[in-house]
Amino acid sequence: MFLKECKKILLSIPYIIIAAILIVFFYTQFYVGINADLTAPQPDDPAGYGYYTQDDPTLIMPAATDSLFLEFLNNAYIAYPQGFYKNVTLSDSDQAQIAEILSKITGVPTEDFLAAEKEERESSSTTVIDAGEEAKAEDGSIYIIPNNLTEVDRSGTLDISVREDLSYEEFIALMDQADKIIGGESYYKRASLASHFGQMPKDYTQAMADYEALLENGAGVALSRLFSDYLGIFATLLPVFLAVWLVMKDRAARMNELVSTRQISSWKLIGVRYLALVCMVMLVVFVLAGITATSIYSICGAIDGLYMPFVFAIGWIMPGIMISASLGMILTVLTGTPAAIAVFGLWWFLSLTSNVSNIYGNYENFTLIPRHNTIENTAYFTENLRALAENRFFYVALSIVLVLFSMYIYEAKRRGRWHVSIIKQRSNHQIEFEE
Amino acid sequence: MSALLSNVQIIKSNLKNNLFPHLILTLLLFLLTPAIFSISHLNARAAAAPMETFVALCGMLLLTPIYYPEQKGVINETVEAKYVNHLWIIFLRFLTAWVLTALAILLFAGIMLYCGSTITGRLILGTFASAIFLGALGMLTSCISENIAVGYMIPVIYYAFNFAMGPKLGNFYLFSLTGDSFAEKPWLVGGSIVLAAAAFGVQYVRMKRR
Amino acid sequence: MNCNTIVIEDLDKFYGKKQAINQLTLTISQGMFGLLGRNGAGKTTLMKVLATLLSKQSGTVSVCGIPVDNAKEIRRIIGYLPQEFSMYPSMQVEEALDYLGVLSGLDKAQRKAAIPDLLEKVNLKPQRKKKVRSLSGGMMRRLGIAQALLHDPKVLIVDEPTAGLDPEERIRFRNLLCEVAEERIVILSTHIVGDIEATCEQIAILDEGNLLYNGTVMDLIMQAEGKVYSATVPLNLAAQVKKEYMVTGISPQGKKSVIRLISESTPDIAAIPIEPNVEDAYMYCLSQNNGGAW
Repeated sequence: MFLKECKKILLSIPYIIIAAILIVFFYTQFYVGINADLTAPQPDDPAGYGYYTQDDPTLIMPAATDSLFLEFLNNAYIAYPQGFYKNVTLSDSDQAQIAEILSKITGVPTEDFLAAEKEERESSSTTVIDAGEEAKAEDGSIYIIPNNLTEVDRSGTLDISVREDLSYEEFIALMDQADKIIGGESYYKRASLASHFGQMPKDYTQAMADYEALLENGAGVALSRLFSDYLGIFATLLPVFLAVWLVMKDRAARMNELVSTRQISSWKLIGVRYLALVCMVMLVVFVLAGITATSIYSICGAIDGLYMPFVFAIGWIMPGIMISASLGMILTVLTGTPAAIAVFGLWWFLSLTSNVSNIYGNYENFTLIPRHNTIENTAYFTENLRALAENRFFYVALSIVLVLFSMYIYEAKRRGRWHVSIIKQRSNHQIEFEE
Repeated sequence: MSALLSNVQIIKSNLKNNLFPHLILTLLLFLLTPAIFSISHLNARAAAAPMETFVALCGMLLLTPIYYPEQKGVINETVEAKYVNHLWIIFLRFLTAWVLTALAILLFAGIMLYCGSTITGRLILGTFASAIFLGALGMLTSCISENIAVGYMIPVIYYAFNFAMGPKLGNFYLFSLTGDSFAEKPWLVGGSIVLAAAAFGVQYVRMKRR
Repeated sequence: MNCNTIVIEDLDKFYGKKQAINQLTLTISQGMFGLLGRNGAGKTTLMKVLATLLSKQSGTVSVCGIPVDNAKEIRRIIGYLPQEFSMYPSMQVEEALDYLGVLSGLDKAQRKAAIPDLLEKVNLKPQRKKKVRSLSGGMMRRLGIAQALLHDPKVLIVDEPTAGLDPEERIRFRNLLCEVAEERIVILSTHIVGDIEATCEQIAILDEGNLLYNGTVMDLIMQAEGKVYSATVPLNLAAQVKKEYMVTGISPQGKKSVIRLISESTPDIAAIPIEPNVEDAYMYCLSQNNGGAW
């Protein structure tokens, strides 16, 4: 029966779509860059060597303070809640709190900041500025919100610099406070400070050092993480459609009545079906893992590249497939509608967008879609491996529980013991012909 | 007059029995939007985020299921044997869904306006364009596959691709107004008309060729 | 041309390469007409062609003088109850009839007049506010027949309407069909011989898309005259008899079995000739088509 279910899934439209999407996404987002990731950098590369994040207070503190000050002057703060651009305007009381924070950072009195902001507001040269963009006021001064080291010309504004006796920890705490006032997900959030204000361009030496570290720490692991990050996005979302299709197909073909009267137990029916679904999606993942493995080994000879993609496919990607399929199954068995698509789709969407500001390493809070969208940041992986493992085990366990519940509900419906107002089995044997 | 009354009756019946659950879903979507996005005191560009990226999903919710009522059981055999052409019924459902999508977007835009956000005609039209494109994608897929789950699959995947690949999708990028660009919207409208026409074409050929 | 006639000439219908109906020629007049045959004989296919749900490959079909290609006009005058009837589950019974009445081209006044009478006729009045999803199988069939009769069609096509119904429900359904057949053509397809026996004068038998028989029930029975026997054998020999002859009935009686069988010539076992019934005649007809095999 398992092979029959596998064959049924293999020839189905949803499965073909899933396979196509995974292959396209794998190729366009991951595979095209694999060669560059695994090839040693060349000297004097005109394309540069990317950036690295330096958690350097001497770099971050002045840049972040400048940025906060300029946003304060314009009362226009950039934030990215749920990954989307948002321009935040604060109330007077909130602005006063920001002024206080700036005062604590710089030592300049709060009243001076408020006066400057008032002057800016009343002047006709007020300009709304986006981070990284350049704007010219009427008096000719240039306002730039830096996201890396750029000189800021603040002619006509307060001269601010960070107090020398302010420690980095105190500074981070103040910036965190500012982030909360803005509403969260701003550049001043603790986890985002370094990535926004501590970016430095890499040179050849640094790039070469990173490349050697990659090979030493295991290129296979690093690439497998990236592979799992990319593929996990859609491999988590798509199985729910297949699960809904599988259950509803039987209903549409009125098979449920035939199946219900067969000898096969619900446990076996649902169990085999679920197993077939997970295996068939994993089949595609394994094929792509195989391509990744051969590519890693052929480009840089890393031995761990031969097996790590498969390990990550099972440990990282499969739990996502399992939870998607199990939720799809239980909600469809329960309601007989495609409601699972909406429910799981929303969960997936929220998980994906809440991780947007932290895609280079985030396995926390039992997130549905763990992210690690870089071959670097190995330290985060090593330090949080336990959290990742707990996360994945949690979803495996939850999936099994949901599948067991599906079996129970299916069996109860078969035996006519489940009366849900949404669905009612019609029995053909009832005579209610009244005279 | 009699024909008009019949059409009104058909629309009413379909609204009540077939479209109603999807209207509820749309309402839930709208209730959820402020929980995920800020909707007050946004400028035009910031307002595009909730509108284009979330509110526009109502198009998919309302348009994709227009073939769904006959995918349950064998209802199509009964209704296709009737005097009123079944394709006309589908078309009435399509029109109803289009109008409801427009009204839903207007309603939400009104709420955002009330909350102090800057809502322009451009934003409303742009959101509508994204909504009907997603809806038409779902319509065509649902028609070809004769299955609602597959019907939702393609627009959801396309929606997700817009996050992953963004402006690389060129003239069919759904969230262009978040980057202050309207040029893509006529393409989306045109695309939605082509997709919807293709769906009707598929249904027509299927009914003719049986 | 007689308005109450369906004329079918040389009808062919294929599903891909499989021929579902092969050069069928048939005339159906007013009254109850039975269409008998095994599963897969082509009964449903023929009905769907008449109901304009399927197109024909070749041949001519006209219903009351209207070619079946003129789907819109045909649908005005036919009522169709499919083999598996279902309706939108959330609709109430009355609401479903009203909606289908609109689809049948009836205006509000016509629907208002027709629906209560129909509900009364099919005895669904107490269930008129019930949702379709909560109806039993028998009630669904009655709703099905009601919607087929809504616009007072000249032709009623019912595809296996009694399958799955218990005996009492089946009898009432048949009586209802007989009643409506007084004024129109009713084509009833079934593989339950009892339905035909009770209601139809004229029948046709299809097998693998071919017309095996077209005529009255009486003539069909006469064809099987002298071919039907009754034999009483010990229980342990019944299986052997079944292998050697076409058995149409076995009735255990203590340590013996009374077997009803069909044979071209006098059987070798002790058997007496008996009067054939419709089932015997039907089985005999099928076996003739299969070269005596069954």
